[in-house]
Amino acid sequence: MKFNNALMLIGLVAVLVPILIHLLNRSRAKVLDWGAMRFLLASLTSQNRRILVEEMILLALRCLLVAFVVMAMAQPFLPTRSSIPWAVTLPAFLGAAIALGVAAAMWSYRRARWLLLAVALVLGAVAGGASALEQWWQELKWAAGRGERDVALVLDASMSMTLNVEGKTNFERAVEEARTLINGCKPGDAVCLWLAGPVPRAVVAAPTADRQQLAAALEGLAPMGGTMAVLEAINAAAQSLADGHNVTKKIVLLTDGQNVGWDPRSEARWRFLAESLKALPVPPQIICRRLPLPQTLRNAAVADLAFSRKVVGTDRSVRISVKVMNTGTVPLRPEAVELSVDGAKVATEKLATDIPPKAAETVRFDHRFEQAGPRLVSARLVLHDALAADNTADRVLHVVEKLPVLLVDGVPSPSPLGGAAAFIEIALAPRGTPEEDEPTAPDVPDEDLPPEEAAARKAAAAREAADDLRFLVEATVVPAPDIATVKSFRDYAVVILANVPALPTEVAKSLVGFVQAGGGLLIAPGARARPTFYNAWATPGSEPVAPASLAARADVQENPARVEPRSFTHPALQLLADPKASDAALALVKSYWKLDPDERDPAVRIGGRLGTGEPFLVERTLGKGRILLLATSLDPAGGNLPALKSFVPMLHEALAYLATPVMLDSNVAPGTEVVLELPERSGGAGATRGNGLRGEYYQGKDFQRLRATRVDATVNFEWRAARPAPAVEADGFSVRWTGWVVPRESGTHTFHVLADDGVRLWVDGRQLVDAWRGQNPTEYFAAMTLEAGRRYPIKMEFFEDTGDATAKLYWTCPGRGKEIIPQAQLYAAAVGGPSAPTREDEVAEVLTPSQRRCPARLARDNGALRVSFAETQEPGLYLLTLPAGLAELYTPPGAEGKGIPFVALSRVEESTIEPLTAADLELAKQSVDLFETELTDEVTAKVFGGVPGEDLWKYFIIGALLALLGEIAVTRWIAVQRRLGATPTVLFGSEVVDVQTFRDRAKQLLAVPGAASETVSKP
Amino acid sequence: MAEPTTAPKYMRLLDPEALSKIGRLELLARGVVEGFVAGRHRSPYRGFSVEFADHREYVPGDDPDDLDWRVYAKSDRYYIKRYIEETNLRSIILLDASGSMKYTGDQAARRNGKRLSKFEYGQYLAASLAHLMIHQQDAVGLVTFDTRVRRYIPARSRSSHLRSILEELDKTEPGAETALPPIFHDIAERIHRRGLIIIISDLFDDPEQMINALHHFRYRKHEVIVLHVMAEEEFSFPFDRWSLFRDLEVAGQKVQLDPRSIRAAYLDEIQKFIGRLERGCGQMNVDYVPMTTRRDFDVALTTYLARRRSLTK
Repeated sequence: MKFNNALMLIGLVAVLVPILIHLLNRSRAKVLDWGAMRFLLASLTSQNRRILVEEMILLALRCLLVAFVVMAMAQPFLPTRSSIPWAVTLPAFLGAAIALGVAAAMWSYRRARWLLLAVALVLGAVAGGASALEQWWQELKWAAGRGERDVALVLDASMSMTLNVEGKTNFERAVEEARTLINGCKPGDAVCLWLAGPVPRAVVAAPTADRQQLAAALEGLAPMGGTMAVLEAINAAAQSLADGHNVTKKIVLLTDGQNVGWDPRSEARWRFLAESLKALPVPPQIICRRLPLPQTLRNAAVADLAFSRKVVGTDRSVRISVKVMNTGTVPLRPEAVELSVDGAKVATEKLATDIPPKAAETVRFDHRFEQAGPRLVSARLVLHDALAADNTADRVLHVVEKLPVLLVDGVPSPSPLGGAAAFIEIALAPRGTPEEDEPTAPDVPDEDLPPEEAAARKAAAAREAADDLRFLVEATVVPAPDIATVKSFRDYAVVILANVPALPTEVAKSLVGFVQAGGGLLIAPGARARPTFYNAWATPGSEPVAPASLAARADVQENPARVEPRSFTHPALQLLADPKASDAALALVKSYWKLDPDERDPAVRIGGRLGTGEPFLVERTLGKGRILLLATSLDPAGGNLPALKSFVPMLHEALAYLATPVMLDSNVAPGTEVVLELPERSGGAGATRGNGLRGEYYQGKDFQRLRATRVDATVNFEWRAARPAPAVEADGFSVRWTGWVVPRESGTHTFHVLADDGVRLWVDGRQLVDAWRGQNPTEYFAAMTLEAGRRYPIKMEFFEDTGDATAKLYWTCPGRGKEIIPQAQLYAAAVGGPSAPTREDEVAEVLTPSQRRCPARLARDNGALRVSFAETQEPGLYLLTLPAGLAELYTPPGAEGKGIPFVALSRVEESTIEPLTAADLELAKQSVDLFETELTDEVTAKVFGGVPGEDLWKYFIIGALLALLGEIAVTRWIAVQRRLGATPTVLFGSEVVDVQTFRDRAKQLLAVPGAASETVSKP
Repeated sequence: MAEPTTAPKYMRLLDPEALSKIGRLELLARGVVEGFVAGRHRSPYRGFSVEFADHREYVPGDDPDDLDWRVYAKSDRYYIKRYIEETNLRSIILLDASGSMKYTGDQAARRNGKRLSKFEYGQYLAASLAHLMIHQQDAVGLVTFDTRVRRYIPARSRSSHLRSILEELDKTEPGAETALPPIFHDIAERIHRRGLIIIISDLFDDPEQMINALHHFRYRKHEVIVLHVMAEEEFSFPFDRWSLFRDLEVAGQKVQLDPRSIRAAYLDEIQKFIGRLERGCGQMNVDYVPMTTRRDFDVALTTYLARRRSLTK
């Protein structure tokens, strides 16, 4: 406790006044000579104690009264952080006053008098010293620099700030406090404003003194969601403060003190921050204001949404696991968990029991996707809880329409089941009528059957099993000798080498490039496989390609080897590992390669073993892709694997595993860049077809106002007097067609245009036709030499004035007649095409979860469109919209018209309310100048100076009044006591003239038995 | 009655006006008077006539002048005459001259413009009573005392005796402490013949012991009148200012206090004291007369004497 106006304490001298009055009274005592001393003394002894006590009380109260009044005038003040508790200072003061009062009462007792005076002196000294010390201390502690300051207000914009605490969300509180602080600034102070979410965002980046700007900036702020990255926020704020001009720098962090985001154990990060702050000219002081967190929290969140497979097609259902976690402190149970796909609810599940706090339950759905493309899968908790933002989780799953697989048959055979790839193809290829029931497993080993029956049976079994996979895998079989015809492996997701002896060098190199770019390779070597090729197969960087070398061939027809399901650790073999579900135990391997994997190579792992202990499946990761090497071929020569029920699922899982790297993953951690590679939409595996030219329709004869954009299959229009497009008038319009033309043959091609009215034509940058005038349908032509298969940019411009309108584009190919250039040879233009002019509307836009629109970067990469977007700090669902011209080319199937979704994942820790502990802040306080408080006053004091605390004068006035009342009451009481106790009057010598009264009195006196014998005889 | 024409100092004690008032009254003894006149003692006579009361047989040693020759003539025996004078009342006035009697106070009655202390009041009382007795031809003596007897003047009925009494009264100055019971015991032993004991004092001593001592008087068949003289302040205690009370008896003893704080207790004490005395005296048939110095002594005395006469009639 201290006194703001300590000078007034001199008035404490007035405490002596009641004492002096008392002593004066005593000294001015009237001197009386008294005879009835014995009675006086007698009455005194009985009353002495009481008199003393009364006097002590009265004097003490009077001294207290004066003391209270004087202290109240000295403006007592209780700082929020007192170094000396007020329970020391205040009682010392009051004690001194009381001691003085009692000393005065006991004045006549010399020893008591001096003792009490000494006590009063000591207490007074203690009290005075304590308050002086406190004053000095507080000034030291709260010394804020003189002069102007730069203040960075950092508001915690994490999801936890949306919690409603005592009627207001913490974020609203933070905004209010920010406002208060801004209003408290002096004219020279400059303030900048930051929003701290997963990545700090500047609201007002440079410190400014413009109050209006700051006030406007505070309006409409909303939490970003996600977790606040504290270190980044502090760093960003500190750097922005460096732009300010004032000397003192302060960062005020308004947060709810949730420990997620603080990284309290990461010394390295805090040290880094400390150093970067020290490097600034003026290291800022960080004031952390902790807003209140609720004691109990009732909240559940969707912690995870996972799919049982990475590669999901429309052929069968996939298991979706939704993990519901109770992040609060009380048990609860959501009413239901809803699963939606692309916004439409598809399933609902209920939970059986309440979820205890900090526990999680998993709800499983089975869903089969109807459509390929990027599908938005959302799980939603039907629940009213504290935080609504975490009740939904989104994931984008790219459902593949087809998984293109290239099957290289090493032993092509005319008979349908003869080749090495035959059974694989059957297992993969869609065939036959759909059947509902499960394929029956062969319970009789095929050795016991006649060969034809066994083969037929195997085929039937494979076919039945294949029906389940009917729509997903698209297999293309290429005989090994024809392998060179495959132009690009990139059209495929997985390449299977079925008993392929060797590959040409170019092909091998191309295949290596394919795998390194993310493709999958499955090698099933049989008797034909040449170890010389496989063992020598290396990347350009001389790394081995094959997961293991083919060491030796083992032929165990008589005593076939079995597989060891318990050794199946690889994901591709997972289904086979469970002896109850799979019949892998029945597998018999008649001949196989002894594999010799380099087990020290970290890229290599053994996925399964034979019963003999030798490797059965070995994997190598190469670049982005994966290679699986089996010990045996997947045909009857190798063993009875193709006949097993497990064969088909095993293949499928292996394919899914190998195809995973290529799959688009649109669910990223917040803050990481999302890169979407959108392939050109040309449908089907392997073949690419043209789709026409992009046509832009303008109102005005000179491309004034763009009204419509579309892809025209061909330019073969006779509009006459009709509108070319609904939004375009029939007269006074112009059209620009852009794209690429691909000739089928090489040679001289002649381009013809027929136009009413004007027309211009460029091919490969050369202007072939320039007839920009009004005219009746007129044909123009020019020739060019073109190469087959090469794409040449083509641009045709046309305008119509009035009357009829015609526009047609022909060509004459070598060896053919004139024809309208067919759609198959025309490709609509992409961004970056040499003759395609850039427009302002060719921008890809991303809609963030907080409804902001941000641009995304586009680049063309080998025919695919690469979209990259880095601002994924906010967790949630983003929607990418391609510009009109590119949308048709690159929008994945199933996403037309809606925008391409992608998701930034959220952390479930943000939903728990774990407050920072003192230990957590230890590291922070060691690294930076951090001051932490839960009181607004202290924040203001730290920023602007001044000692926070409470004025106490009111209490002192109340104390004075109580003392006054007490004194009055005690005085009254004493007076009443005296009056009551006193005999009203002592009758003495009263005139009793009345004889009768006297006689009565005399009789009374004399009426005592055994009195003197005389009797007074009366007349 | 022979009254000196010059006025010696002691004569101030005899206030003519007072005396005239008192003189009309008489102080009668209530008890049995020694001698053989049973019943009341009356002395209605003034003058020098000596009344023949009775005869007593002559015993050698008696005064031959008192022989009644007529009786001898008739009976041939020698008898002496006994006169009323011998059967008259003998009274002793005991006047307290201790320090406490010095107290005057502000309420006391004035005499010659000056307020009377208790002692002065007592002096006047004693003088008046002595005068009355002498004029009634009763014997009167005086004892002044404090802790011990200062002066003992035996009872005589001659009018000249009054002078010595008055002189002594005038001379006495009060002072020193009080010790009544021993005095009473002492006097009770000294006086052999029954008489009237008049005590004029403030009685500031232990009531029990005093009553005990008064018993002694009664045992000796004396009649006792207690004139309890107190100042008004002593039984009303009106003080309200912080005061320093100095003891009139014990030098150096003082008490400084706020009188209001002990007033109630003090009055209680006084009440108990007075009540005890009153009761004690009443039980012994001792006349207890409370007198406050506020009232003029003649009025007080007159009132008392009148009341007493009406009682004894």
